[in-house]
Amino acid sequence: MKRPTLAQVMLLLSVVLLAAVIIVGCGAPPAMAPRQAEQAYAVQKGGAPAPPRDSTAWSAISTYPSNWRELSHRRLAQMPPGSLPSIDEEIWVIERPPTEAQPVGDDQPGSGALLAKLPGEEKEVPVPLKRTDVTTSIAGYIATVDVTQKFHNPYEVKIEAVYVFPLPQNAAVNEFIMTIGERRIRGIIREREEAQKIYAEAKRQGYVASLLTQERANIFTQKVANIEPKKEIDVNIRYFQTLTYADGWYEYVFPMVVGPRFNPPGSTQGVGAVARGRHGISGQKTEVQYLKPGERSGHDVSLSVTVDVGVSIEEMACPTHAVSMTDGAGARTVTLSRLDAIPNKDFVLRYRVAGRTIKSSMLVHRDKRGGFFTLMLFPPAELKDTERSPMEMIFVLDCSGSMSGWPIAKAKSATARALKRLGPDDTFQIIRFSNDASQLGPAPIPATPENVRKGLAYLDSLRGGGGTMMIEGIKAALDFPHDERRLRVVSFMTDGYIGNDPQILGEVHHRVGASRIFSFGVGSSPNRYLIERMAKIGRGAVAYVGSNSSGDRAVDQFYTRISHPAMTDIGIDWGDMQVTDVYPAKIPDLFVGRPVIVTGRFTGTGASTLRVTGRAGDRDREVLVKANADEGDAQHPGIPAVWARMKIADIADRATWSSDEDFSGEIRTVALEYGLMSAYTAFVAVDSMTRTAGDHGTTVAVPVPVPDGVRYETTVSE
Amino acid sequence: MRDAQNHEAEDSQLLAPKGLTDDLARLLRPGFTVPAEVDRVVLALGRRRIRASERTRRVVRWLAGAAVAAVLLVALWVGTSRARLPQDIDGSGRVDILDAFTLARVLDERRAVERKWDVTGDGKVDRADVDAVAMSAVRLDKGRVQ
Amino acid sequence: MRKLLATIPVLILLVGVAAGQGKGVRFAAVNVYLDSGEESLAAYQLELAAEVGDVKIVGIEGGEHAAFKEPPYYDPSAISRDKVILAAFTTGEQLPKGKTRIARIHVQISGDAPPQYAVKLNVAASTEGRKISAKVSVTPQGETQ
Repeated sequence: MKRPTLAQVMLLLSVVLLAAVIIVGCGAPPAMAPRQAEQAYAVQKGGAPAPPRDSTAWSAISTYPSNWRELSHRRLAQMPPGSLPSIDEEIWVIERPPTEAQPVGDDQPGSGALLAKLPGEEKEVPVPLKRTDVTTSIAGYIATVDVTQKFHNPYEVKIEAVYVFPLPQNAAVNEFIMTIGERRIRGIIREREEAQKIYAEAKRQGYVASLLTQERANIFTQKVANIEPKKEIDVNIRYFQTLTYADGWYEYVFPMVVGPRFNPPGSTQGVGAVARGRHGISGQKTEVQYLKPGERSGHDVSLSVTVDVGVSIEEMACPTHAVSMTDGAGARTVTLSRLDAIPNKDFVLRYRVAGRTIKSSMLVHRDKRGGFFTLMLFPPAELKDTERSPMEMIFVLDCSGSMSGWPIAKAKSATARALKRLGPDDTFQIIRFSNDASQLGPAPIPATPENVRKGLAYLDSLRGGGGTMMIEGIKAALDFPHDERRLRVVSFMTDGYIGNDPQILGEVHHRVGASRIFSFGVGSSPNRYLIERMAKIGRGAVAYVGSNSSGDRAVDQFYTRISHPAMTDIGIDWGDMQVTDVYPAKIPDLFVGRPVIVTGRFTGTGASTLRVTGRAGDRDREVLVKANADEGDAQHPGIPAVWARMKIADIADRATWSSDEDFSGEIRTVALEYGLMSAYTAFVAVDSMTRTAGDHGTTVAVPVPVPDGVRYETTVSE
Repeated sequence: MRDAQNHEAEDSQLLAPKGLTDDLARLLRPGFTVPAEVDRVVLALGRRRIRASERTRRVVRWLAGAAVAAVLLVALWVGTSRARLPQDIDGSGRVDILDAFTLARVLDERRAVERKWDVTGDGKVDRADVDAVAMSAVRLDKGRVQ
Repeated sequence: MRKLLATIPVLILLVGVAAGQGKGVRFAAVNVYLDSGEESLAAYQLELAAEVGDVKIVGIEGGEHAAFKEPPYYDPSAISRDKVILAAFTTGEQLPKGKTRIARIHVQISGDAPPQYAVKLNVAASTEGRKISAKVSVTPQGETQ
């Protein structure tokens, strides 16, 4: 047989390759059934699905199973929760207060609208924030929140309205629209100083303008300039956040009010708490004006949450407010009662879904910027699969003025309960702080019955009063000599009402060492940012204790879990993936009921097996996780923003304890690239079409109520 | 042969007997001869065949080249199809506002959607995916329009 | 001495004027128009850049027709560069035809030189998603085309 020529061989190979490429590459995915698509869209529009069209009019293109939606949602449910995790998913929230919602009726004393006076004005008029409307849509594990603040000018002269308000500390604010009449102007995110200059110049020249800045991760300031008499201006802010998850429960929180903060003497960069109309007396850069007890501003909140997580909701509760719940097709809508619309406590919604989520897994996203991933590590489902570790418990109680009354009582009760659960191999110490710090003894005390009795007696003697020199409490707790044979746990009980968050966090970072920090937030509006950040640095967890909670359950859960960690000192071998920019840099411990989320950047392709190693009791453990960097065409566009948010948080954390780098420049670059609010970026909008006459008018701050349960007399300067 | 015989005739001792050489000549004599016309025809056919073979070889070479090019093109097309972002709803090869518009119209008209249009990865195709596609459309890539 | 004292009010006036002018900073609006002729306009995407002048975008407003009332999409990370892409679409039935203002860009201008803008239409489409030809133009507010 004649030997084929090179050209013939090439021709044959080419034909074979061509055929192979065509067969493999051109397969089309099946189309979804029309009926299900219609339902998906209609639900998102917020109403019941429209009656379906005659399906025979549509071409039969679907080879997809008719229950695709249920299957995809099942897939969604099987995906590790927090596929797009929040910044505080590494913070384990053990407990929330099961508060009974108590609506305030119009016949309550002092429930009439508060009237404010301008200099020279004879007539008393309402304050410039009429209402706040909040519309939340929860799909999967992400909440998209639209906040509309309705400003108006009830005075006879131009004003600038200033409103200091909270948002969740993991909120990624990505949209800002100013509405003047029928016209809607989208704001622009810029470097903070630049945005402030633009706003100041626009204000000076008489243009209507608005500026949104971030004072802390969870405190924002909204300014609206040149609101003419009787005119209204709306500001719409949109953000997304991922929900926290623990022990099968998801939680959505909308914070309503900034609690009064304590600022150490000499500080000026804090958040001051002053009486209404007493601007400037705190000496702080940012001030919140508070209403006196019995006063109301007339500023109410409306709130609705639509939850569509794709699987059936087994339980849902709002422990903080009176709400109504209605079920639509595949979604549940929760609406805040009009009788409970005073914005003086955080709104909390919890729900539990069907299905079990067990396996550790990784999600990836690729775009022009490169690869991003989230890795979710799951612990064993049962405590019996873990070992008890001997512990060294350090209890640190905030005995400042803001803790007076039921907060300190709760803290003492919770500490006492934990003390009684200590075993013979454990040791303990009790430290109190207010203006200074003191402790029960010079060294860790063995938890013998006699010593526990002494501890209880010491606890009983503690009272609330004085300032909040948390630094002293931190030094006393973390500088304590450590017993290497024991797992050291430092438990802070505080409302976190301080203004020098960065200083506190810096001290915690420098001193934490091998300690684990567990923060108990006490009160109806504790400083969640500080409390959760401390727990994050300390690779610990958080619990919140409210006025109607005994705290017993929180303490029991807390103690049981932390004495049985599933895995500590976690390290990850990334295999073939080239991984950078991993957050959190120090991976938290793995406890039963609480997954650990890690996010980062990667290059490389193909499958890889990750080795997760750590300690359980006195033994080494290893978990293998399969990862595929080529994961299909699926895109999870929230992952880059979440990664960026965590990177910004990491930079901000480092900035609290190091001055060697250009942290502000780094944060600015990341925030601008991903379009996020940060301490160094801000939203500004100017209406260049409307130039008002006269000077820029009077600045009027919007006063807010003190959080429910906080005593005005001990926390607000007059 | 004659030359060889002449050459060998110089040494008479080496000459074979005449009868032997006659018998050998008869044995080795060709059995037939090809007429010249036949020879010409065969040669012409042969030449034609060779020319056709060369043509075939040229064609095969061209075909091989074209096939390779086709493979490369298809591979490129399929490769770019695979790398085509899911935001390219209308399959135009680029992501622009028409992709968001197309998806929005599909949803508004309650037409069949494709699973790959679930850009947000939340298990359904809805307005959030439309917004995500629109945001992709307006994104500048390193200062250049994508 | 009297002459010296007399110049003080003049100096104060000059300083006031200079301050009032905000060191050459002013705000203006730039209207973006699209002329789709006889076709109904349902979607557009365009690029806008300030080629001359120190211009910062401080607000993006929607158009005059109800179909394009909402502010268009834009890339936030692009604002710090000198080019931005704007895009919008509508699935409504009432659509503009002919020349319509599709967006208004609010800008801060520094310096005395009048800015010059460049705009390029990437795509315009009708309600069926069919590409249509259209003419795009920008006009500073207050000027007529």
